[in-house]
Amino acid sequence: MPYQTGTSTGPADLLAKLVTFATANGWAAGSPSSGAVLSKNGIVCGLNATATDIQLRGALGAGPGAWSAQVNSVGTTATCNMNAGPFPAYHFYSVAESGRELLAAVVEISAGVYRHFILTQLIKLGTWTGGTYIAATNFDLSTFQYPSLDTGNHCYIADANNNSAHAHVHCDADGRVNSWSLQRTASDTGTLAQCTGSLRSGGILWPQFRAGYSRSSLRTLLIPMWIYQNRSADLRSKLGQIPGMRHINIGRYAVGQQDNFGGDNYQVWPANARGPTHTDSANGSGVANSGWYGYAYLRT
Amino acid sequence: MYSTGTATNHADLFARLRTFLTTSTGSGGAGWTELGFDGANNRVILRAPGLSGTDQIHIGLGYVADAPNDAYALTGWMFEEYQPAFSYIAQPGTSAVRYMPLWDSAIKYWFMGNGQRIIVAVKISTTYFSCYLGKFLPIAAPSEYPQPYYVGMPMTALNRWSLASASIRSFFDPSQAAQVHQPSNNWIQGGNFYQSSSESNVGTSGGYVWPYNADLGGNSNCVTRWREQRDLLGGGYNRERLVLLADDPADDVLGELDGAYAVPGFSQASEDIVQIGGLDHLVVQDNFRTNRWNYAALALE
Repeated sequence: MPYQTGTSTGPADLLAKLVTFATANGWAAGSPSSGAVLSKNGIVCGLNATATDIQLRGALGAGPGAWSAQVNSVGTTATCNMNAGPFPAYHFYSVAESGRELLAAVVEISAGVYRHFILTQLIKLGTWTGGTYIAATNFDLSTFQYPSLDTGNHCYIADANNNSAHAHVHCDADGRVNSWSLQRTASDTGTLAQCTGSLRSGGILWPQFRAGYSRSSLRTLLIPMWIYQNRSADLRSKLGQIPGMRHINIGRYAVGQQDNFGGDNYQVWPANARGPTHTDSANGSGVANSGWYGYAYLRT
Repeated sequence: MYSTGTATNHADLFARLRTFLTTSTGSGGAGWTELGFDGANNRVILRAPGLSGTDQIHIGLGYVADAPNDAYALTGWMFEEYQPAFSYIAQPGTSAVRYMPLWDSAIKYWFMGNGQRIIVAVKISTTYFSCYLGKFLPIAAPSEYPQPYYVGMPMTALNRWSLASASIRSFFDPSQAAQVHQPSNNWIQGGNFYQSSSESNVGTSGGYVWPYNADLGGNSNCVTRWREQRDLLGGGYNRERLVLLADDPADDVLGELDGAYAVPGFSQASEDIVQIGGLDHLVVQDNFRTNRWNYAALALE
């Protein structure tokens, strides 16, 4: 069953339920000395639940060590910052597109407030080794940053604005081997073992998000989620696209709404909390707000 | 369908284009219908059948010459319906007539046509001009957006081919010479950049062509992001769809151009042939511009 929903008492319970869901959908659960390890079709990821968070680290192989020390594990943890629970709802997706797997968790951590994390392999462009992409949304909860849509302190999936590196891609480029590139802001082109995404305000797809939908047909765009690898001379190569999910402007959608796009059924969620408009909430208000930034998940 | 060759001059190019467009699809042409030819003014009125064969897409083509100033151009315009009693350039719902520079010497050309649009690329000296006339691919049903037309021409007036201006641009990264037929049935000025003291963003446009630019909400970061791109890891190129976006009269996504794509010019030159998705594409630069980000890939089909 590629989709499951329910409630959860907190991060540890959520992780246990995700492992059960994943193994029922063809993912292998490893036997690490701590946490959990999930793998499928070349994707390997160590996961851990703290009192308030889910932590993720991509790896290139599963082993008996700790969740954070699997084979060629990335050295930086992607943290999906939640709370201690209970969580009103979770939504798990295990789908494939163009032969590439996506395991995704959407968690309603409090009424109307969401977190996301994904384990996937990009639909790759070009010829290179790698493709595993691990990402979590992570928000700066300070009263001044939390209401801001485009601050670099937040981390979105396939984000072009974030500074906090809660996503990483395995990409052996330009002579690097077993190399993980951390996702950071698109304005930083100079760090080579680094990648960036395609949306928030600094991304190449911003204009499509801003327009959102056709005014003549009222059809909303499904916007691909692209990852780019930094190269020398401040240039980038496109690595590929995240399968099974899209950026979407949710201005015309209710939270959790399903819609048919070209014969495929997608379910729509806010990146954090849907705003009445796509503008920052009052500075210093501490209000959870991601405006109309959202994700559409393929529900087969 | 596509055709390439060398015309003897501007008039011969026009004649060859006319023949290509009206030759049946089975013979390597676009299979359009010629509704009228004005030999005195070097103009032709054509009707394209659309991809379904049931559309009536009206396009005017011609050429103009100003020999004393050594200025020559292909002209192009579109209109909503054809009335034989009306002048060729004053048909109901007509766009303005726009211009693509030519010269009175040999012209290497590429014609890429199908039932709904024509793309013409030419080499003049060491520069390359290209234009697009016809229907684009709307994000709407025919009943919602019946005439999604794009007049993607480089100039608003006849000028010599050598004029270097940010306002003279090819259809894939246009100036305000471009025109878009919007759902409201208005022809509205499009464009990404224009000549101010230097190349400047068109701040409000009826038709930006993304990814080269699209300044919606005053955010033109996509320009920087596009200009950072190079070839793929391991070689090869990715083609980017050309998306028509607007913020005049309101933020909108109109559709995609047909048969043309953005491609990084990294390690490429005009007239290179790149295969993407199993299909050959002609790489062309935008007029005199040869920066990495000034190239497009035109599908040779």
